Amino acid sequence: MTRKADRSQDRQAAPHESGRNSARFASFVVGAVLAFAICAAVGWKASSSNIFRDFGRFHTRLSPESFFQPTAREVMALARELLDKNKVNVVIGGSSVFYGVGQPEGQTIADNLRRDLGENYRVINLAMRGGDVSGIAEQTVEMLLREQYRVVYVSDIAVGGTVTLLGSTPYQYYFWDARARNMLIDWPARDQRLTLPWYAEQRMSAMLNKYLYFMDLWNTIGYDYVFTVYSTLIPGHFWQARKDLPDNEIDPPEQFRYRNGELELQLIKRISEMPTEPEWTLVGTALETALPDVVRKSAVLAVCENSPWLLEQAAPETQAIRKAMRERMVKRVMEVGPSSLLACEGFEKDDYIDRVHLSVSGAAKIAPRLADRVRATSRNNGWVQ
Amino acid sequence: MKAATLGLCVKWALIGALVGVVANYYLYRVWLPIAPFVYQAF
Repeated sequence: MTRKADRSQDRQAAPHESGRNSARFASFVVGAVLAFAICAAVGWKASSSNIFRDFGRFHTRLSPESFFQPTAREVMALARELLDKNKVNVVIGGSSVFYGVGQPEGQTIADNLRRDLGENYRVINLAMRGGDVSGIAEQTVEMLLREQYRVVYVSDIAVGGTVTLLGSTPYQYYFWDARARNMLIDWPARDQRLTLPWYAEQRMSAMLNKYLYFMDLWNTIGYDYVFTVYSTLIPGHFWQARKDLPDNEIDPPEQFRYRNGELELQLIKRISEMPTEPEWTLVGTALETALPDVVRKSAVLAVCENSPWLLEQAAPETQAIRKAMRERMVKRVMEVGPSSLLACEGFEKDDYIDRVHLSVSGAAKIAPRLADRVRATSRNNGWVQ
Repeated sequence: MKAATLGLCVKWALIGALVGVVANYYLYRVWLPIAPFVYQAF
């Protein structure tokens, strides 16, 4: 009799328990989906406007070097705020030379150029340490040109250097991000050479981020509130909001300049071999492939020689080869469209802090030369009289 | 009884929300490179 009653009770309880499990599961799924969707919406909203305050450049605490990867939407929002469609806009790109290693904030090449060009121009520094002519700055120029901004792209280029297709490796995520979001200029010459399969991590990440905005969200949280990834480049607590970390570039004192002079001299000797004709051809075709023609038409590529103080210590034949190389470089660059110049001729020892990076005085000296080319390019494009 | 069910739903919805946020963060973190960079310029 007792067993019979228990079985009857179980039969009554089973549907009830099953209903509770269904409610649990449904609540869990609704909560998860809703939270995920809210994260995506917040990421979209956050990257719709500029998140960066008092922007000078993507310094080491605000760049992929320390795992802060600004997205194409974030950089475009920044550019829209700092630039002006009614003026000529100058985007600085390239390597650590134009980023301004050795130049504290306010005394960089970009800062000097801004002062030299005056009120009719806007200047933004998007160069990256270890960057290339192609990369974040150049791809942002493409996005700006698509939005009808008048842009002059100013970058340094190495003597005899072959431009990479998508920019230096740490910054290639930006290309895939911008491409997934259809923000770049269509450039079949570049697209035909893309070899990364669709399932490669960078492409999948970019494709998902296009809809889910997770990079945009966590960048904003990391910039404004708490950063979640450990980096050895961050002093103190790694979780500090990145907005609280200032640009740490310094004007190095005398004893920290030319610290590896002997090694750098050896390096100069090693890189003083005149490229062959096919290699010179490649220098031009690499530029034509990586940069859409409309960008090349608006580009000023500066060829800066190694520090003359080091170069003068090299053998006379090395100096002669380097001279021929940099002159040939300028010629080759101009053959494929951009304006080019020997931007550091006549510089002295103190205008550099090492073999390649300019000092504060070097930045002040190069800016008027670049400004002249920017004005000439603006005139050629019919933007100014 | 209804209050108990509602409480259960809220509890599991909050657990779900936490999982949703973690999943979103995972997508961000899993593709963030952690290997040291090799720079061409230095």
